[in-house]
Amino acid sequence: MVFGVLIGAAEMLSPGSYTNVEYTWLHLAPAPGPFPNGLSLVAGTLVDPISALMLLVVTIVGFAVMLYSIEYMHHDSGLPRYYSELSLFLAAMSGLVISDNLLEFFIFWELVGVCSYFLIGFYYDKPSAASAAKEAFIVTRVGDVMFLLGIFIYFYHYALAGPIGSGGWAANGFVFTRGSQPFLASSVRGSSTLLTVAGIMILGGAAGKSAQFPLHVWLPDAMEGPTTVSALIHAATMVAAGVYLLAVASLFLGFTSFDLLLIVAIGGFTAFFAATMAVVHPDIKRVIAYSTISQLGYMVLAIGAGFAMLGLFHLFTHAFFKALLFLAAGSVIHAIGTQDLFKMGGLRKTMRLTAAAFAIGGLALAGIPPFAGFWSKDDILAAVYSDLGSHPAYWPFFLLAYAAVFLTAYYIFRAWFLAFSGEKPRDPTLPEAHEAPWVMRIPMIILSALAVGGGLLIFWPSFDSLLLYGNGVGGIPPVYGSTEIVLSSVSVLLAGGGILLAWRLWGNGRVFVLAETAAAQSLRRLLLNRYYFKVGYDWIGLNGVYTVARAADFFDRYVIDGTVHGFERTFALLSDRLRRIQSGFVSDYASYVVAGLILVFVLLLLIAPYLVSAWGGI
Amino acid sequence: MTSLAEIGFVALSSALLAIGLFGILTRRNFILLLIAIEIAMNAAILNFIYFAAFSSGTAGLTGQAIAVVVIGFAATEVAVGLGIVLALNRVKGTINVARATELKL
Repeated sequence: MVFGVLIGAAEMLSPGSYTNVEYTWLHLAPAPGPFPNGLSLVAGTLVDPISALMLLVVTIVGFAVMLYSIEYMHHDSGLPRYYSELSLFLAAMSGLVISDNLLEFFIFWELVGVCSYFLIGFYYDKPSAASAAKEAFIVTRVGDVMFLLGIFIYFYHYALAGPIGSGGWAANGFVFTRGSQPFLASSVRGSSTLLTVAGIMILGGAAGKSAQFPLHVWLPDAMEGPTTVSALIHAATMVAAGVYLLAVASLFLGFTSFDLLLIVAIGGFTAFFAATMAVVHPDIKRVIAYSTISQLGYMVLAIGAGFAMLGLFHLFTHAFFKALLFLAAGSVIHAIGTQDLFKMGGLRKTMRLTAAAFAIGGLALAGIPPFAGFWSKDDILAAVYSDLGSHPAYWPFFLLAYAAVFLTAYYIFRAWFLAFSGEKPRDPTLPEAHEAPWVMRIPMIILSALAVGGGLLIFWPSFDSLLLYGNGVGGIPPVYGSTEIVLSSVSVLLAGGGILLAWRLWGNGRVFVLAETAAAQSLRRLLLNRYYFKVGYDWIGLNGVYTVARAADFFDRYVIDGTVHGFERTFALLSDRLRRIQSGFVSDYASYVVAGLILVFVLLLLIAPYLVSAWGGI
Repeated sequence: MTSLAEIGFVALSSALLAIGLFGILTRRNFILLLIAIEIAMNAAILNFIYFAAFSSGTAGLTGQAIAVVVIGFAATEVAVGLGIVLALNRVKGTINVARATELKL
């Protein structure tokens, strides 16, 4: 962890530097085909501004969560398993962010995926946790397959391209190389169908990992894992890997214009779509999970609009305040043993620090200055707005993302008011709440400090230079003019309005009962059932995939196995017959020998004339 | 040139071989079996002897030397065979080979 922070700090002090160490583990000689100059596969590390940024996030949040887990998990019997899986995850995540080529990236990508699977299913004796783990694994697998296809297309297509060395990209191990601009020169963009497909594949991989629409269904269910895992993996780091992938792809490979529009569309739509589902949910962790999906949507939106570094900046701040929210929620769950917001209430009095931490996280999430979320989110909105002139097609998605600001502030403060305000818990049977022990408080304090001050880091020139990525390939943040200030003010007002509405409806122990009109209730049901996506996917799984699987099973069992077993039975029958000649009577064997001898003599006599002529006579 | 004597000798050794093989295939008594094997083997030795007698030079000496060596081998073979007979008699109480059929599936 210390090491990671040191690397991050060193990168900050030498702006735009680019350190690459690699080791070739497989080299294929030149051969005709798609790789005429040979093919190298390398394992290497690359430290550049974006990986330095990610290293800071991974190590700081990882440290906080490890510390917090000491207390949060201490009563659990699977503790060795928990820590070993968490350590494996941290190692894989660190490896992922410093990978220097897509193949190595993919290996670590799968490793973090399997760690996520393990940890979601940590309480494997609970059926809901086991099925959530499976769901997460299968849904991200859809994305992973697309990602791998995307890698193949890029490798194939760019085998001879690239600004480094001789022989092209393939011969140099597909290492990420930064030239004056991405591989995909702007003249090619939008013209190649193959590259558009590759971009869509990469986007699919990122959407699976970062739970973007339509592969978003697994993340809320992933909350079945321990809260610490949700904080580290499903809020701060692993789900951000998808965003990181998009950023890496846009910085090193480049996307076609159609892909960019698609990325913007998915990001903007997801930001709004996930926020609507968070509005009604009664489970404190799931509310935060929907919020994660929504915030990841902002990052994707920023990358699609060409501001990769702003997306990563939001990733950076979001990691801290979202991990903080989860740790605060974990503290509540630790104290009273329920996740149901409608059973909580009045916790402000007994858990002062947790309440304050959750409030800080909420303010940062809502985007109230000077908390961290304000700087990054408003940078994104302002940047996308500045791009609208050249890309009018981005308008609806910008508006959706803008509207989501209001929802964000509303749902997170609804959770806060439900849990912490009021006089006493709504469910009187809950145990007496108590403040978390110090081991859990310290990580919350660290993350609170970062949630307050993380955004202010942009005023520190060394950090700001990270965001510029040397020469501004990752998009130059807009200069704040009067338009941007109005935009920001409006978004702050929207957020404030959201908080106010939450207070009006839920503050001071109030309970807002939705009108019994059919329209309102059906909307609520639609949101609670998550737009029926899960039902739909289950249907596809059962009727589509299961039917195909049954057909394949039939084919395997009766056609392939039938052939194999047919051979087997034939030979078994034959050998059973043959076995009977081994009678054990010595004279039987002797007669076989004699019969064989006679056979040899007869054959010799028959072929003798030919042999004689072949040897040229005796 | 093939002389009548040569044909006679070869016919004699062939007859001995046939007698030996017949004994091997039909006898159940282990000792008789060994005697039949000896007869068949003597047919081979006899072949060496008279082909050596009809040859000249080193070829003739070679045939006789081989005949002497094979007689020695036959003696050792009989010694081993009789040992097996004794062992078989101890285990089975009989020297009838038709009763020793353990080596089968």
